[in-house]
Amino acid sequence: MMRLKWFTQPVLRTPWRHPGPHGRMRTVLLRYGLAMLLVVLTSSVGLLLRLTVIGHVATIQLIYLLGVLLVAVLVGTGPAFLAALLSFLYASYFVLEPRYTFSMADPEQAIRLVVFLTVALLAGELAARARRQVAHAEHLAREVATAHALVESDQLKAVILSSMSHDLRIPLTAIQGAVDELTATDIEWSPQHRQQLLGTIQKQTRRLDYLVTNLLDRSRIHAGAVQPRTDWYALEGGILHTLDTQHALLTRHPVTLDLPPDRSLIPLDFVLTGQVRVNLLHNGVTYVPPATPLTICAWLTVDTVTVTVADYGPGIPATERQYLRAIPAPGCRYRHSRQRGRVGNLPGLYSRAGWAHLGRGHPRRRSQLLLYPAPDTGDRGGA
Amino acid sequence: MSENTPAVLVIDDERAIRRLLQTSLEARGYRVRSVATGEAGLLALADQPADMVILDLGLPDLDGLTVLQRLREWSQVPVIVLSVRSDEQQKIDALDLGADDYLTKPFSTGELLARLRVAQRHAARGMAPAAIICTGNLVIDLARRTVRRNGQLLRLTPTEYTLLRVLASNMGRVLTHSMLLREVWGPGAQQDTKLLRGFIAQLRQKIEPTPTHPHYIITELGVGYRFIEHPPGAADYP
Repeated sequence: MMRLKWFTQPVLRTPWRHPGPHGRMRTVLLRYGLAMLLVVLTSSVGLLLRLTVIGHVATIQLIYLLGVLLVAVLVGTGPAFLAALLSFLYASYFVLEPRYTFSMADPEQAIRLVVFLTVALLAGELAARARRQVAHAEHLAREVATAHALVESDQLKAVILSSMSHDLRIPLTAIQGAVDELTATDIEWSPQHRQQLLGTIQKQTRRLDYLVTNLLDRSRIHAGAVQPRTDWYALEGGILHTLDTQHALLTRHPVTLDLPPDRSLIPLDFVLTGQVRVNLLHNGVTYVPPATPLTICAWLTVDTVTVTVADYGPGIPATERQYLRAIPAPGCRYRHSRQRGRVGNLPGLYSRAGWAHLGRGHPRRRSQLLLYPAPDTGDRGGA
Repeated sequence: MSENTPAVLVIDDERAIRRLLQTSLEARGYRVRSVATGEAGLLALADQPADMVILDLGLPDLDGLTVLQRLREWSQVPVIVLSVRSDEQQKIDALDLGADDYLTKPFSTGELLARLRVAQRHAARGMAPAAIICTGNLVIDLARRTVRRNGQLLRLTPTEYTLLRVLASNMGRVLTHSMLLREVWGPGAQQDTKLLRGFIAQLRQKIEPTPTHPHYIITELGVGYRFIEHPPGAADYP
């Protein structure tokens, strides 16, 4: 069963992870510890080599050098310096004759130390530079993703605007056309035709009013000018009331109610939720063939009441579902819907979305009534 | 072409618009068939030819432009597309795909009828344009390559003349910027709208009674230009 799913705006920028002072200290200790571990490891390898096959001092020194190089590349310049120093000391103490003593008399010792330190510095810097480049590339990739998200949201806005403009212009076109005809001087209209044209004006004006009201409601909800005024109501009462007021809409569509047996009262804003229910019904009957049945279904969970209106119509074309799914509602999104052939009656969707947002603004309220289009159940067969 | 009653096919998904067009056009003596989807429109046209098609670009099943494209593969029937104001590019695309004209919703019935008449006339005339074009006080003689205003010969440069000829031969129809550029300057100059704007301004200076309020060459914002027909001999200053 589809659930209404909360969603947040697309994450435009993942915040950099900044470890606190304690975290940073721990990281530093860890890195130096790792360096020491690697030196111990190279010493062991050196020892092993010396005990088994190769006893040559220069070879052993190379092993130590390799260890320093590894530390520099893997862990960083600072730990590499430590590793260089330790390696030098180890090599002097355990490998070079006379063993188990530190004799700095030999000038070669000083050269070795310098070589160790230089290798650590160079390799560390090279590795750090490579790491910076990787980080930079990742940063760039994130920027690209951000830009992408912005473009997508722009496209979405364009789709919504175009759909809204389409929705508003149909009634306007019909009204203007009918008025033009009634005022035309080149035609003598018969009474039936005149009546038909007047009927068009009446019907389309009502439709326009409905659209504009919804749009204004949405703006008010978005602007935060509407606060839900909740009171305790029976869910069934609200649904029946809506069906009652909209009976003219439903004369040609059989309606099945599937309501929970639990008749407990729930807190809701009767007017706002009523508007949402009307929009759902409108969507449910507008974009389906005549006489398509409607099913209104409700169920309760601990803190949510869900009401669905399923219309068994052709559903939304796959190409437009993506937009519906991504309606930039402030609080929620609608995952699937069988309603509407085009990108929805957007004012309707908007007011639903906006309303759900209102519910979300009060997380401590015991129950919220969330209304959304019914799940897409293609297997149940259309029409 | 048909007898006296031209047949119009209306392809629009909105019942209100379909009914309105049906009432309006039938009252003017057109035979009207109307369908709600692009597929049905293509089938209806294949089934029984129409003299004109009114095509809404915002159809639920197929994109209106796709319908137009598929229709143009086998039919040259005049097509007038219905579009919404916000989308200039869509109109241009439709015209480039072979639509004869467009109307922006909401449109007046008068406009629609005028567009239908123009489309019908152009379809009827086909390949044989008139040798002399008259509109208002302008007389363009295509055979002699002369243009007269109030009987006085106008001095036009060859490019100005070609531009005027292309516009006037398509009297009443909208021509997109790229169509005009291609016709007048050849295929290389199709993006140079600045060039076109310059020549239109020059032409207006010479043929328009008040160049700031054009009477003959009307700008279709963001789309192109339209050469308007006026009753021959009508005064320059209406």
